[in-house]
Amino acid sequence: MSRVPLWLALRLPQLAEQVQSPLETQPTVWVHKHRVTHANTGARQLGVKRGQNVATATALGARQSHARDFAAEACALGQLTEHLYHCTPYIQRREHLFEPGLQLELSRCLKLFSGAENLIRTVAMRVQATGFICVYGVAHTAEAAWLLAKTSSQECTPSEVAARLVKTPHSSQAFLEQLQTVPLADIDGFPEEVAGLNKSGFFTFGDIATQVARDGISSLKKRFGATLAHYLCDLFGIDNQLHQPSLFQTAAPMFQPESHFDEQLQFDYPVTLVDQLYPAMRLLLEQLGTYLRQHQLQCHDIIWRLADIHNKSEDITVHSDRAQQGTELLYELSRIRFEHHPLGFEVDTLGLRCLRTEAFANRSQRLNFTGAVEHNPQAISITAAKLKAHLGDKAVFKVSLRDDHVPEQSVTCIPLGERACQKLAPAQQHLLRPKWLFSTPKPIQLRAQGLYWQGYLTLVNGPERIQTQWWDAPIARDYFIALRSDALRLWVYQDLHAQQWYVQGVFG
Amino acid sequence: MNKQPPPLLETVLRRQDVWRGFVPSFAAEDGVETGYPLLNAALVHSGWPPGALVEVCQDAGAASAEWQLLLPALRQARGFVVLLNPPALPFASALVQAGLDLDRVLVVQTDDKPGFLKSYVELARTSVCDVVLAWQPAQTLSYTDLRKCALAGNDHSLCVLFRPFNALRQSSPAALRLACFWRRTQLEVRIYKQKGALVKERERVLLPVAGLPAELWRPDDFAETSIQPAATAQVVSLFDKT
Repeated sequence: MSRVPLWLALRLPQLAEQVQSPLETQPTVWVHKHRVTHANTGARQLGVKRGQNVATATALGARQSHARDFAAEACALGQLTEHLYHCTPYIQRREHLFEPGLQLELSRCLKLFSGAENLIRTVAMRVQATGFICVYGVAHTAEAAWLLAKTSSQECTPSEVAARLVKTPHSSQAFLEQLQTVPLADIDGFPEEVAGLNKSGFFTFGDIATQVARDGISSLKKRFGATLAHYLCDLFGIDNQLHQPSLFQTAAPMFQPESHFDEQLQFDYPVTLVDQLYPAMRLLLEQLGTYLRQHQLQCHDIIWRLADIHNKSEDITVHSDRAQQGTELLYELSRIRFEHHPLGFEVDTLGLRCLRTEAFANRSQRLNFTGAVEHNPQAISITAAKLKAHLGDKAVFKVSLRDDHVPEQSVTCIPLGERACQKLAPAQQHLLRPKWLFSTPKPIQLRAQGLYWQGYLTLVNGPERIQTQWWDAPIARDYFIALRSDALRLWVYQDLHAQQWYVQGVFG
Repeated sequence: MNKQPPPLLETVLRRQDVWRGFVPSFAAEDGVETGYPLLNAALVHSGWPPGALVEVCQDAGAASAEWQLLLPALRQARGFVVLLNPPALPFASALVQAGLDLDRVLVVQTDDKPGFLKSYVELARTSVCDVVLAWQPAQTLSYTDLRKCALAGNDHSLCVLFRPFNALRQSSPAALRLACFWRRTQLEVRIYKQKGALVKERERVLLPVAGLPAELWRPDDFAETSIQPAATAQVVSLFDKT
C-alpha cells in the first residue's frame, strides 16, 4: 500500500505584528504599496480590513502605519524552520502577503514520533515555545492543508491542536470531504478565475470536486486556464499525466539548515604568549578542515575567540580572498594576524568559529605538459596577507578599467580577490594614453614664456576633447601631449570651464 | 698514487662571482631579455640579471623612464608584476594597450622606510613575483638598507629599484646601476656599474622611444612644430539660456 502524504500547514496571521519590537498597543496597520496587509486587534475593531487603502485605514482611526519588514519576517520564518527541523526535514516556506507560513510533510516521520498525534503535538509545542501565533491545517496535499488552515481557528494548547487535527482519518478521501464546504473565495492568487467560477455556478470546492469526478479536470482547464487547473490538481492530489504516478512523484522539498563550525579548546593554564596558541590553533583548524571536507564546504572567513577565566573575550577575524577547504593557508594567515596582535589578557580558552560557508567549488586545473613553472595562487595570498598585516588592507590592490570617459574615473582600485576588467572599448584602443595617471591633476602655471610645470612645456600633439557629465557637473577638457624641456612627455589638459591647465599623466 | 688535477682552482675559476679582470667569459647568459638588442649586448648576462638588485637612477620627483625601459621584460613575465611605492597610479587603459594582464599587476603603497623595506624583502623573496619594481621612499636608503634589498632577491625574479640622480654619488651593492635620460627621440641609458665587467667609461646605450607615433618626433627644433591651443575653445553648454 502506497504511503499517503500527510501535510501540516502553519499559517502565521500576525507575523508582521510580532516581528515588530516593541509590540504596538495603539491601532496600527502594516502596509505594502499603500495597501493594508495587516491590522492589529485595535485597528480591526475600528473596521480596518486587509486590502484597504492607507488613507481609508487612517480615516477609520488607525493611529500608526508601518511598512512591512519582509527581511525581519523572513528571518523569523527561518528561525521557526530551524526549530521545526527537529520534527521533520521536509519543510517548505510559503510566501504569502497576508499570512506567510510553513508547510511540513510528516508522513515520513510518523514512526519516529510514534504516530501523527504525537508528532503534531511536538510541532505545536515547538511553535508555542517561539511565541508565534499560528493556525494549523492538515491534509494529503500541501495546498489543501494550507487552505484548511485558513478556515481553522487558533487553538490554545498543542494537545488541542493535535487532537483536532488527528480526528480526521489519514486518507485522501477523508481530507477531500473536509474541503467540500470550503468556499472558492478562499483561494489566493486567482481572483478573476474565482469570479468566473462563481458565475458558472461553482462556489465551493465540493462543486469543483463533483465536476472533476464527472468530466475530469480538462473541462476546467479549457475554460479557466492551465494555471488554475494545475493548482486544483495540486490541491486535490490529482496526477493527470501519468499512468504510474508512483514512479514519478516529485520529491518533497528538504530543508537544509545552515550549518556552521564552532569549537573551542581550554588550556591547562592561561597562556600569555602568542606562540603558545599555535598548537591549539593547528588542532582546531584540523577539525575545521575535517568538517569542511565532510560537508563539501569551503569558507573565506574564520573567527578566533580568545577568552580568559573571567569570560572576557575578544574576536579576531581572519579572511582569505580565495575560498578555502584546506587549512594550511588559514593557519598561515592566522599566524600573520596574531604576530601583530599582542594578547590583551591571559588566554584560557581558544575558540574557532566558521559561520559563513559555501558549497565546495571544484576548480578544474590544466595539466602541465610543458614542465613550465606554475605559480601557486595560494602563495600570493600569503604574501598579500603579510603585506596587509604590515601596511593595512588598502595598501595592496590592483587596478581595473571602468567605463567612463573622464580619465581619473576610468581607473579603479580593486582588492586582489576580484577580477580586473580589461576590456577596452574599440574607440579607446588606439588612443594615446600615459602609463602614469595622477589621481588629482596637478595645476600648471601659465607664464609669459608659456606653460610651466617643473620646466617649460611645449604642446606637440592634440587636442583631444573630452566633454561629458553634462547632467551633473559638466566636464570639458582639451587634452594634449606636452614635451618638457628635459624631454619628458606629459599628458596635459586645459579645463575649458575653469580656463586652467593641468598635468594629468606621464608617458613613462 | 694517481696524480689528480688541481680541482680547487678550476672550481674557483668557474664561479661567476670571481673577478677575472677583463675576461667575462664565465658569465652565464641567463639574463631576462630586455627587448633592446643594444642593451642586451651591453649587459654581462645579455639581459637583466636575474635575482640581483638593479638600480635605475632617474629624475627625482617624477615618474620617468620605467615603462619605456622595462615594458618588454614585463610582457614576458608569467608571474606577478609588483609596483612597490609607485610615484603615481598606473593607468589601466595604457597597461591594457601595452599588453599587460591587469590581474597580474599589483600595487603596494607604503608610507615610510621601514614599511618599504619589509615589503620589498617580502616581495623579492617570494617565488610568485616575477618582477618587483620599487621606488625609493622619501627617506634615502642607506647602504645597509640597500644590502638588505640586494640579499633578498631569489634566483629568477627581476628586482629593480628606482632612485633619484643624486643617489649615484652614494655607494651601492646593486649588481647593476644605470641612469636614464630622456632625449628627444631616444632614451639614453648609462651604465655606471655592472657586476662581472669593468666599466671604464660610462657606457651609453641609446634606446628608441616606443609607443608614440614617429611623426611626433622630429630632430629639428620643436618650437616650430609646437601646437598653440586656441585662446578660447568653444564649449557649448546645454544649459546656456542665451
